[in-house]
This record gives sequence, structure tokens and C-alpha cells, in this order.
Amino acid sequence: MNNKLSFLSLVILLAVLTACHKDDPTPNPENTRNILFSVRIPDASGMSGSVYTQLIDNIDAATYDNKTAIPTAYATPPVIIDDYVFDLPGLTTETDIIKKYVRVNGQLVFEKSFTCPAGSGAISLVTKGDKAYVAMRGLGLILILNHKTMAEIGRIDLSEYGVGDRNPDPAMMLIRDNLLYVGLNQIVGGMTPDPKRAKTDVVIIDTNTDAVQKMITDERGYSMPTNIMGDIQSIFMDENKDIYINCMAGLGYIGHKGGLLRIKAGETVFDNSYEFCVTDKTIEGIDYPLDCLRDMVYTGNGKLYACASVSGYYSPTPDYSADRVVVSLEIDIKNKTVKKLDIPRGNIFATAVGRYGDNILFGLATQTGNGFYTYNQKTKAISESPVINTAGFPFCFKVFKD
Amino acid sequence: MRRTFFILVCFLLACLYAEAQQTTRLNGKVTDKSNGHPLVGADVYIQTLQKGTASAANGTYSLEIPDGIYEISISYVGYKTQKKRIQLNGKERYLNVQLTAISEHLNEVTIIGKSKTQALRENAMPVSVINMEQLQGMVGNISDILSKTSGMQVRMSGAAGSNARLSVRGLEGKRIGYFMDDLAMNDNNEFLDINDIPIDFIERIEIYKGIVPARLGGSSIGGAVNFVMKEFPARYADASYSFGSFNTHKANFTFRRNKNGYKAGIGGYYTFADNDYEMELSLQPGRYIRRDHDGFEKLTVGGSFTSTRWWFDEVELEGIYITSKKEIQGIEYNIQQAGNHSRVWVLNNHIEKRDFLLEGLNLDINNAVTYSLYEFRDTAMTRYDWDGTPYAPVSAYGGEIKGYDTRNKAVNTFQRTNLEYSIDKRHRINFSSQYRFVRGVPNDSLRDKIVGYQTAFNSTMHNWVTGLSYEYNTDNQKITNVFTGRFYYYKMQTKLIPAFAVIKDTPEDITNEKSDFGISEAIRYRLTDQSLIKASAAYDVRLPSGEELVGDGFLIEPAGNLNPEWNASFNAGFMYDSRYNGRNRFQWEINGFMMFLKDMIRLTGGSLQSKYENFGQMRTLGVELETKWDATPWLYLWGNLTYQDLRDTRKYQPGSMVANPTKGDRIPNIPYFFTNIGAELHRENFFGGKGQNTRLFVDCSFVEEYFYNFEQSIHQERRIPRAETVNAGLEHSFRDRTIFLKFQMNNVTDKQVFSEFNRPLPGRNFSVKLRYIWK
Repeated sequence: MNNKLSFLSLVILLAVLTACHKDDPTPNPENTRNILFSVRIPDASGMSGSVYTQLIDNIDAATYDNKTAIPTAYATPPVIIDDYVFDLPGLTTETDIIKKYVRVNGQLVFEKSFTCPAGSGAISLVTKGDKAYVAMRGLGLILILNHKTMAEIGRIDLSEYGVGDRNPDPAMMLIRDNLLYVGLNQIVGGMTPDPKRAKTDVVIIDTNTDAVQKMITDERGYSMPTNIMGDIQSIFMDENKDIYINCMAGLGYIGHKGGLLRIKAGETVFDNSYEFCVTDKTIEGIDYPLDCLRDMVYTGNGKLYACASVSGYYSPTPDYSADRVVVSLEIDIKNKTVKKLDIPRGNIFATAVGRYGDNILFGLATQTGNGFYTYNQKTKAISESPVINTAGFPFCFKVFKD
Repeated sequence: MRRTFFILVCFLLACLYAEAQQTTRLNGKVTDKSNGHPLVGADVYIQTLQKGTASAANGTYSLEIPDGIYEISISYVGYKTQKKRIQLNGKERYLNVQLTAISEHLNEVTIIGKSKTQALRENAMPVSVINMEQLQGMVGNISDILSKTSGMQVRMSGAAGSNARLSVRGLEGKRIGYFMDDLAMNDNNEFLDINDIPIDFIERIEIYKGIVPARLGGSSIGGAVNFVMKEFPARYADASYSFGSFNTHKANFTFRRNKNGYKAGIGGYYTFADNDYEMELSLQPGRYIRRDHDGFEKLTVGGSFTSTRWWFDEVELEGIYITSKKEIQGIEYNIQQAGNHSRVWVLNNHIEKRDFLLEGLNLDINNAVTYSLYEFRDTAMTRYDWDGTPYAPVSAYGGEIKGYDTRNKAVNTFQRTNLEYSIDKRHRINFSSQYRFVRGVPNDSLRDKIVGYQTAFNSTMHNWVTGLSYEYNTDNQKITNVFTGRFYYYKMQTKLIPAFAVIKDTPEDITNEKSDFGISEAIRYRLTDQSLIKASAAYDVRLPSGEELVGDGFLIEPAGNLNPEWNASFNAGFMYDSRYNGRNRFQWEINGFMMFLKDMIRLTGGSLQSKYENFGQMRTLGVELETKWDATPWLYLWGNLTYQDLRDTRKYQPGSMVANPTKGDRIPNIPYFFTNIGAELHRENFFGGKGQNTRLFVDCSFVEEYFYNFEQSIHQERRIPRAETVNAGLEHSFRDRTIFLKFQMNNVTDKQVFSEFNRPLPGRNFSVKLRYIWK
């Protein structure tokens, strides 16, 4: 009887997403504009708004406006596959169309589109060959597209894996060894998982046959695996091909454990020897427990960089715009340590995290700046203010593999 | 079907009753002697019978009188009263009267008798008035009429029964007051939409821009629209039926009878529509569907009894019942079952007394109790895509939207007292008080089951708005000045589940109490007989509504720290009104305005909503032009143009020192340029015969393309497209405006028209109407 998580939290996720390819992109000075970033601007009604996406050359200190940026979907950050950018509708009622852009001479050029079923809530896309798997959270299915032609190939119905209703809420996905791992949020009533069910479900699909192989469930008190809206890094592989899954635990408001679970390389079951709860930790420099990890990027050697929300920082009557509740973290997933980075706290509308070379970029909306702060992994240097200043809330930072 | 039958029975009864009377009928027309223009609302009165009536929009009147010899008095404000002696002997008689205007020379200013409409237009406040003449001939709805007014837009989301949001100079929603006969209706939006009001029952519509008169209570900062309903003659029956596209049926009837100082009346209206027009899916361009779940049905019936003999000038008791059913049409996704059903019972008492306690003090009181029941069901166990593909509902318990089985009850108690004291010709004071108490009893067991805890709790709300205004006129009426002060008080008590509570079974008591004040000043200076200038300034506030303060327990979080919105507005205008060639009137008006809105209350958080915050700040600069011209005795031309530039003026993003990227950008989703032009031909006996009148009109409307979001990029394509629509109509009346036949076609060129957020509106559509008046 105690499940509600405020819409705030969902909203927050809407606002926050960020993701970066797990691969380690090395900037090549000969290839210009290999960085994609987006900003988000709510409109006057507060009910919707705009996201502007643009390509830039590097992370030298600069201020960017949106004059030549491409408007993309409000709810989900774009997905990069090779030189292509897929703009997904996400959980909004503003479009049903997946747009495909190609990067040409440092510009995003519209190429093709696909119209999804109404209310699809298409929030993530991964590819294998010409096939693209699109998670449709609103309908409880995976749509299979030929992403070259943007034509539908098939659908995988997941309704039978729904718990509490007939929609298991498929979210972020990852392909390993011809198997598609799909995090199931199992939202009940449109907001959080059932507070009485602290379990984590992942469905595994054989990409050769596009048939569901099985659903695996972890019962150690975690819930809501993978980012509810669009951070594709919330399910990632390390250098050992172990899969880590960020469990968002109803964004921290239903008493479940939040943190990381693992599926070891070569296995299709949860690794009972590993769990990493971040919501029960006392972290130096942070006055309250974490709600959950938000956006993240894994850089190898056990290092995970993430933003997390801390609802203890809300004022007694929360002001979502003015209250700064988002902290920047350096996490060691092997040794299970969490360290707060000395970057100003941001509000809940920006939690983007990305990587460029040795630099980790945290897209935050702080009291003094909107944009991407940097943390250099080698020098440990932290920028005092945003290096990339943005006109709007930072929404995502991604790098093309050149 | 049962309701249709009921309406027909009432209609027939009214006919039979009226036709059964065997009295002599006196008909006639009252006109201005100088130009032949009809005088609207002139009193036609027989002292010996204590019986009378008022002339209609075309100056005609009609009375049923027992045979005999009588002296009839015909009077009109600003005109010399005439008395005529007439003998009635069973044969229908006609008596046309020409009244002479009284020209009262006060220094260099000449005051000429004028209609209420004209007097209002010359008020110090910025106001547009739509009178009965402009309303005649219309078969459509109020939105069609209001949208032709400068500075005014009606944001429709569909056809009959859809939400119609008033927008005055770019401010809309709760910022705009909506009144019927001075009574605030904003709190009754769920039950009474502006388009529910039958056009035939409206005397005039007053549109106040920026400043709201003290006598209109309510907390509105952007302006107000007041619908003044007709005062019907002593004996009157009126019935009409219209049929239109998308299987739209509308029927109205009213019956009035005055006798020995008592008045009784019944009336009602009924609307039914399928609204099954074709639309392009805005999220799936190029795909068209026919709307198939947008049905609407509404019935309103009421009766009143009035005494003019109980010390007060008038004591009225009125009862009203309204019931409506509305299906929900999916726009972004298919909806096949969700819909609402509302019922409301109203008991209203109205008291008027002139020279109450002392000479010059007029008392006007309303006491009302309303009981309402609002049901909303969203329980479908299967959802469908546009092509019919089935999907799981949004919850285990069903639902196409979120899953609801709402049953909200509310008791609304209302008291309004207005005292107007004319000290002398120069000084007048008006005191107005409106108090409202609402007890809400919400229930949604399905919603509670889906989310796992109780989402809505009983609430009480006290709301008191009081205003005091002082009007000063110079002896020569050259200057009029009105100063108004207002005080607002609001208290709401309810229970809430704390937003961040992990355990959701312990609600907290919540009390929100707010008060604030507003002031306004308006002055008018008459330059010549034909021209005047006016200027005004206002500082006003809008207190947060109950929903904004406490949310809905589910989709919207509570926001107890909300501050009132405040708006400072300035208006300056020039008006020219001339009659030349002895008969043709030419009116021209220009107004410039500026507004600053601060602490705008808005939902924060994007498409999933979260809570209301004081977030916005904007500035408006604008100009309105309006022209009306009786080009010939049979041709009337009009036009208006509005440019309103609303810009975001927030320097910093909320709670930070970070520059606001949209500072200086135009506020999205609000039209910034629109214009209307129209022509009307009206001739008596155009097709021959006697007692016939023909009106033919054409209206053209243009709304420039406007922005869906803040425009930041040269690649931004998402806009609400330019709208160009043409409406045309024909009205023909017989037997001295007793029988009316009307035909109207909207969107003649069948253009694709979208409203706010690209809501598709109907293409070409028509309606025909038959109206019969028993006088």
C-alpha cells in the first residue's frame, strides 16, 4: 500500500538522461564533430518543451546556443549507432516517429523515419547487423526494424512477462553473445514497481530466432532494472563481458534496494555472488542516503561514473527547479566504493554523464552554471565551472566511434 | 432518447399554451426618428394594466392585451417619452413609434441617448461588447462569436462539447474570469462550458481586457467575459431546433409569463453530437482517421419564480438541473471507452432592491447552492492501436489513459452581495462581496487500487473576494474616473500523502491560507461628441487554485508554497464614433496595451507532470484595431486586428544565476497575430412579401502561424500552422421576426485548422436552424 513514487521522479528521469557508448572512443583530431550533445528547454506551459541536439568538435571551453541545433524528442536522448543517430519518441505524446539521421560533414542529415504504433513509448534501440531492436515501453513489446531501410521486420510480445499487469515495461537493452537482455521495469499504475515486490526481472531473447528464451528474476530486494527512460548505459558490459545492471528501485521512494546486479560472462542467470547496494551507504560529503544512481558511464578497470539523486536535499516544500539534489560520483564496482566528486550539486532536471578521452563530463544545472563539468581521470582535476556551457539543461553527451 | 422526448414534450406544451390565448395582439417597432435605426430595449408599457415589454434587437415589440382603450407609454433612455392612445377590438394592431433623442448640451459636450452597449464601450475600462444584433443570425456557438473580437481567442480542442478556453490578450485559463449575469462561473467549468449557452438567450457579451470591474468578483488577472442574459418580455415563448454536421442537434426553449407582479418561467436546452469528423493524426502525419469516440450529450432545464411584490423590487427563486455525457476522443492514441458523466443541481435566489434603505443605494444579492456529481470512467481491459491491433490496458485493473473510476461529489455554497450607491451625478460607489464555500468528496477506488494507496481526500475551501470602486464623473460628463480596490482571501483544508513518504498510509492534514489585494485605475476623457480617449492601469493577483495547491494526490504533487500570480497591466485607447449622412455610423477604436505577469503558476516537470511552481515571468506588448461601419442602410462592414507580443522576460533560470536561454523569446502556443473581417447584408422584404427580414453574412478569420515551443533553432519545424477560415450564413425571418430560418456554413473552404498544441478542428461543416417566437 505504499508505492507511490512521485511523478517528480519520473519527470526527473525524463529530464536527466544521458548516456555514452560503453566503448572507449578516442578522439581523432582529423574527424571533426564527433561529439553529440543535447539540451532540454521546458516550454512556458511546463507540460512539454524542446530538446536541441548538435555536434561539436571538442570539449574546449565554449558556450553553445541552439541556433543551428536539430530539434529532437523531448523525453529520450538520441541513440548513436556508427555514423547514424536515431531519435526515438520516448514516453511523450508529441511524436510517434523514429527519425534516423546520418552524420555528414559534421552535420546531422535526416535520412529516414519509421512511424511507431500510437503510444509506443519507444525508448531504447540496439542493433545486430541490419536488425534494430526497439523497446516499446508503452506497449510491452520489442519492435524489430531493419535499420537500413527503416522497415518493420517483426514484434516480440512481452505481455506474458508482466507482473501486476500485462505490460512488463521493457526499458534498456544490451546484446551479448547473440542474446538480447532486456531490463523490465514492471511499473504498476504508471509510476513505480509494486512496493511489495522487491524483485528484478530481465528477459532474455535469442537474436537468431527472435524468440524469448526466458525471464530471469533476482529476489535480493532490488527492483526496476535499467533506466526507466533512456540511459542505455544503465545496462553495460565490462572488459570481462560481465553484464552490470543498474536497479533504480522506484527511484528510491518505495524502500527497495538500489544499485548494481551482475550477470556473468557466458551465463544467463543473475550472479548470486555479486550485489552492490548504493542506497544504504554513508558517503563522505553527502549528508543523506542516495535515492538511486541515475545516468552513468563505465570506463574500465571497475570505474563507473554516475549522477545520483539525494532527496534529503529537497527543501521542506520541494522546489524542483531551485533545489540542488544531484551529486556526481566516482564508483568502484569491483571494490564497491563510492566517492563524491567535488562538483557542485545540480537540480533534478540534468543528470547527464559522458566520456571524452580521459575526461568524464557531468551535465548539470547548478546554481552558477548549466553545462558539462569535467573530471579528468588521470589528473583528477575537476573544472570549477562548466567547460561546455549550454543554453538549456544538459540532456546527453555522446561520442561517435571514429 | 428519453431526453429528446422530454424536450419535444416541453416544446409542444409551450406551443399549445401560447396558441391557446385569445387576446388581441399589439405589434410595432420603435425607431430613432433621426436615422430610422431600431431602438433596442425600449420600454413599451400600459400603466392601467401594469403590463409592458421591451423592444427586441430590431426594435420590434409585441404585446397581448385584453380589448379596450389604453394609453401606451414608449420610453428609451436619452429619448423623449411618447404616449399613444389606442383602441383594441380583437383585431391585431400595429403601432410603430419614432422617438426623438434628447440632446442635452452641457458646456461643449453633447450627450445623446445611447444603448447599454454603447454606454459600456464608452466606459473608462478597456472593454469590447458584443450586442444582440451581432449575435442574431448565428447558428453556431459562442466560440464562433467571441473569436471575432479583437484581442480575444477561444482555444477549442474539438467540436461540440470540447473544452473551450478563453484567451484575452494572450492570458488564458484560470487567469480569465467567466461570468453569467455577473456571477463567477470559473469554478463550474466541469459542468458549464461557454458553448453550452444558447445564443438566443444572450442579451450581450462584455469582454473586459486587463481590468475587471469590482462588481464582478472572482480572482482573474487577465480580464473577464460576462454573459448578460436576456430579460424576456412579460409573456414570451421561444423555441428553436438546429441540426448540423457530425450529427449535431441543438434544441432550446423558454417560456415566460408575468402576471400581477409575479413572473414564472421555464426553459432548457439540449445538445447532442457525434463529432465524427475526419482528422489527420498529428503524431502520424499523412494518416487520417474519422473520430469515433467523441460523442457528447447535454441537457439543461430550469425554472424560476419571481415576485415584484415582496418589498424588494424583485425576489427570484431559480432551480436548474444539468446533465452531460462526454466520450473522450483520443488524439495521440486511440481511446474507445473512456468518458465522463456529470450532473449538477442548482438552487439560486436573486434579490434586487433600488433605493434600498436610502435613495440612490441599489442592492443586488445572489445566494446559491450547487450539488454536483462528476464521474469519469477509464476501465477498458483492452487498448487498441489506430488500426485495431489490441494491447494490454495501462494497469491490471484496466484503463486506456491511466485507469480511473472517479466519482467526485461537491457542494458549493455561494453568496454575492453588490451595493451601488449614487451619491449624486458625479460620485458613485460600488461595493461587491463574493463568498464561496466548497466541500469536495472525491472517490476513485480503482485509482487507489492501481497505485496502492488513497489518492484523494475530502476537502473544504473558503474563498472570499471583495471589491470597492469609486467612480467620479465631471458635471459635463467629459471625464469619468474609476478607482477599484480588491481583497482576496482563500483557505483550503484537506489531507495529503506526503510526496516523499515511503509508507503511504498516513495522510497529513494540510491547510493552505492565502490573502492578497489588487487595485486598478481607469480614466476616460471625451475629446469631442464623437471621440474619446481612455487609459487604465491595474495591479491584480490570482490566488492559486485548490488543484494547484494540493495537487490531485497522484499526477500532481502538492505545492503549499505557491505564491499568487500577479499582473500589472496598462491600456491606452482612442475611440471614434460618428454618424454622418444623417444615418450611417462609423466606429473606429484602437487600443495599445502592456502587461507584466510575474510568478506565473505552471506545471513543472515535462510531459509526465509533477507539481505547480511559480516559474514564469513574461511581458506583453500589443495593439488592437477595430472598425465597424454601416456603409449603407443595408450593408454593415466590420473588421479587427490584434497583434500581441508575449515574451519571456526571466533573466535567470529558476533558483540560479544562470542566464535564461529563452529570455526575449516569444511565449509558445499563443497566437500573436490574428485578424477578422466581415460583411453583412440586411434588408427587409428582400424576397418580397411583408414583415420579412433577411440577413446574409460572411466572416473571414486569419490566425498567423505560431510556435509550438520556444523557437531556438533555425531547424525548428514544429509550429501550429496558419489558419484561414471563412464562415457564411443566411437568416430569414417571417411574420415580423416571429419565425426564423437560419443556415450557416463554417470553414467554407474546408481548410485544415488546428488549435493549440495542434488539436485538429472540424473542416467544412454546416448547420440549419428553425426558431419560433411567441410574443
